[in-house]
Amino acid sequence: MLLAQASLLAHGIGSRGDLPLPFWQFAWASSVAIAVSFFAVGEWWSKPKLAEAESGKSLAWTQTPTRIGELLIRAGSLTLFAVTLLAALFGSTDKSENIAPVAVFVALWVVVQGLVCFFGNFWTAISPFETIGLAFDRIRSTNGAKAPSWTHWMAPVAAAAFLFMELIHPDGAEPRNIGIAMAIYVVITMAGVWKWGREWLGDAELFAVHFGLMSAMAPLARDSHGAIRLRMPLSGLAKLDIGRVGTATLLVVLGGVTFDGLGESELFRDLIGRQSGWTEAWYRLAGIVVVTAAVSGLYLVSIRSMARITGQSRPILANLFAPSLVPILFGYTIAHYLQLAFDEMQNFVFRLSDPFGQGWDLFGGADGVVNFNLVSVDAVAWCQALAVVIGHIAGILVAHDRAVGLFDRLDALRSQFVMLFVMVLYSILGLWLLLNA
Amino acid sequence: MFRKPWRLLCIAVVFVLGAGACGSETSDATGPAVDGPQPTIAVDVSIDAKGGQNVQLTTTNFAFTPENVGGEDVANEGYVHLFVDDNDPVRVYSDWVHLSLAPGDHEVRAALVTNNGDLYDGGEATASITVPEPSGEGHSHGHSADPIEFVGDTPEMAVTVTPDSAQGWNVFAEITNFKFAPEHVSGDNVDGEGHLHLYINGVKVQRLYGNWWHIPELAGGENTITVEANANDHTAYAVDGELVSASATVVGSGDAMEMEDGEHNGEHGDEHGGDEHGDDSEDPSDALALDVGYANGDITGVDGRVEVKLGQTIMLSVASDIAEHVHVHGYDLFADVGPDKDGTLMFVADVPGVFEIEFEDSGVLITELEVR
Repeated sequence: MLLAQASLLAHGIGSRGDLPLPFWQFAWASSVAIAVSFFAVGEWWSKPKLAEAESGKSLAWTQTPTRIGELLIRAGSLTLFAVTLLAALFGSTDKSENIAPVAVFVALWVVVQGLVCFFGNFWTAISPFETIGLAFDRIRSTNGAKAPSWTHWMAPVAAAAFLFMELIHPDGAEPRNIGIAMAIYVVITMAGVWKWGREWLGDAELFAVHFGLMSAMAPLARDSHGAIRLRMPLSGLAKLDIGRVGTATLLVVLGGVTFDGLGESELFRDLIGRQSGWTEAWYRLAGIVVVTAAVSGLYLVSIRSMARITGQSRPILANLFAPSLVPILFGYTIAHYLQLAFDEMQNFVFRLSDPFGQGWDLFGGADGVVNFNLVSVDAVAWCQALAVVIGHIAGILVAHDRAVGLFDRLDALRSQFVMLFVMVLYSILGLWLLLNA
Repeated sequence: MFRKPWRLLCIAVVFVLGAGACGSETSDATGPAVDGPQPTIAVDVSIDAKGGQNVQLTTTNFAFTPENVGGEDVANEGYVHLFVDDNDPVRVYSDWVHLSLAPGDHEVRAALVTNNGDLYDGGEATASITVPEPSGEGHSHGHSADPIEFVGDTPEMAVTVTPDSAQGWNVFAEITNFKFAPEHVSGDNVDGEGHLHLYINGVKVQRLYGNWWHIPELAGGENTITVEANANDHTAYAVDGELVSASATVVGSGDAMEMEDGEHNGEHGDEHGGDEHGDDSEDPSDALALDVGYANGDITGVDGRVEVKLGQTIMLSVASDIAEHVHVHGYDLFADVGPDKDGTLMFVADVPGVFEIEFEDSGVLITELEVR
């Protein structure tokens, strides 16, 4: 067997790969997933329940943070963002000494993405783009200008570009490359905000769009009065209206994380042989395109066949299916990046003491050494398998809940069997990737 | 209808857990049980004409097994603890050992111990020695400035330093076409005969009459361990004017340490490859030697991922036709490698996970270590 140059994130983030899941764990997880799926579709509730549970109960003691508090949070996140951008552009070119790679690929992309699934969409509260947008609001008026809807496609395009840097570009973790990419993204985003206002961010800014969708499954959400509500997990997905842009974003990210698992498998390496540099990158690019096309194709084909079976229109069915991508993606993300997050967030904290790699020691942690034994690898393996299975089951539940609300029982069942087939396929694929990790 | 499968599932889970628990139950380490004949030891100390004292250990029914030290106890295997005047013992891995005692009366006691350092019953002997006051120039070694040429087949030398499971480091000095001749030491030179000198950071610390030596402790930071071959009269051996020596750099940080290969004498750059032994071994105390070659863009010697037991010592040796830096991810160890210099790294695989070993500059993946 040959090995290609394995890539951890962006060829430089994370120094440890996950151990392959033992086969018996794979077998158990898959069979539980399949058994529970069939049981769920046949036996579970026949009236939609999630939508009711969505309102939840208000935690009155969590009123909107005071203006001072909000200001402090925004100032802190904006500072961190500025430090990251400056470090990427002007700091040490050693990716292990510069804070930018771990800040962007781990702290922002993995950890914030994971946390919004539990704590709701706190990204809007810390987004530097929002903060700058608030400042813009003080100095100019957009006169209610509406952004043309094509600009919303920036979200999936930015997702693809981000994944290209993360998974394909051979030097995607080099601070300068990160800095240039960040600068381009900031300029485009800020131009959009200047022209169309902050509301545009929620429609077109990658992190706002994607984290917003992921946070719909969280048991916590902020209501219109600013208080935090405790609700049933997943219930936020019941009313979520995911348009084409949102679905495309989810599918691109799902394709990326699926490819990340596949790209590290022996199968893929045997396929492309021992390559490095840009030669390998082109192979990997082909790989991610094929995987994303396959994942998306599966989605589109199942929508089509559901439309044929139930006679319902495709947009209705797409809204039925798309929310279940959220927990699936959540499961995949946990499965692939949990260990990385535990290891590299320690690094992130150390780097805070010396963000530019200049030998500073601001908070006394610059010389920290990652404790790889913070969480046992067995515990992580269990979390990985469980995450895929739970994500899968959650996806089925959400879709089922919607189906029984939209269709009569027979159509609901019919539509569900297609869904079930696709979901089982997704989850076995997800688990199989862990097997080959 | 779902009740029975669930019950079955529970039973199956219990069964799986039970099987897992049984699997983890391993046999306890056995004491120094000796079924066969009891090992014995005798000790004899004599004054070396060129300084110091030579201790000769005569053992019966006993084998020195430095390669198994810290591993399982095996009857009639182990090493010797040498006590001088009830000081802390010195570990001895061969029949002969050289001491440098202060003038006066000394008692030398030798005790046979198992691989784990447990005493063998009755495996003890003592000898007394009176070390005379140094008389004039008598103590100086008289290493002649010029090394003497090695006439016979070119000796090849390599030194590896592994952390001992209990304490310190074990030095293994491998040398070919060379015979240890403690019985002729300080006598006439015979080509191909002699002993080794062990240097730590350039300071000579020990004369070696065997391939193995134990270093109880090293200063923090980088330490260079050098072994040099010497003739009976202590003159250094050389081939084409170059000393027959090898060295290793040991950095003691936690359990992991780095070892960089020093120069090897004699021809070099022969094919390294296809040599991956110990992979199937069950005992994590067995070191795993990984000999990898890189030539014309191809990696030889490893085939896919290398599976390693948690706690196993890895001895990685990389030969390359280009100058590069070998990088073991996670453990974050580096070694220089080039056409005239192998890169060697030695470390204990004590973090579970999958770790890349790659050429840092070109990004060529050498292999991946799967540690579990």
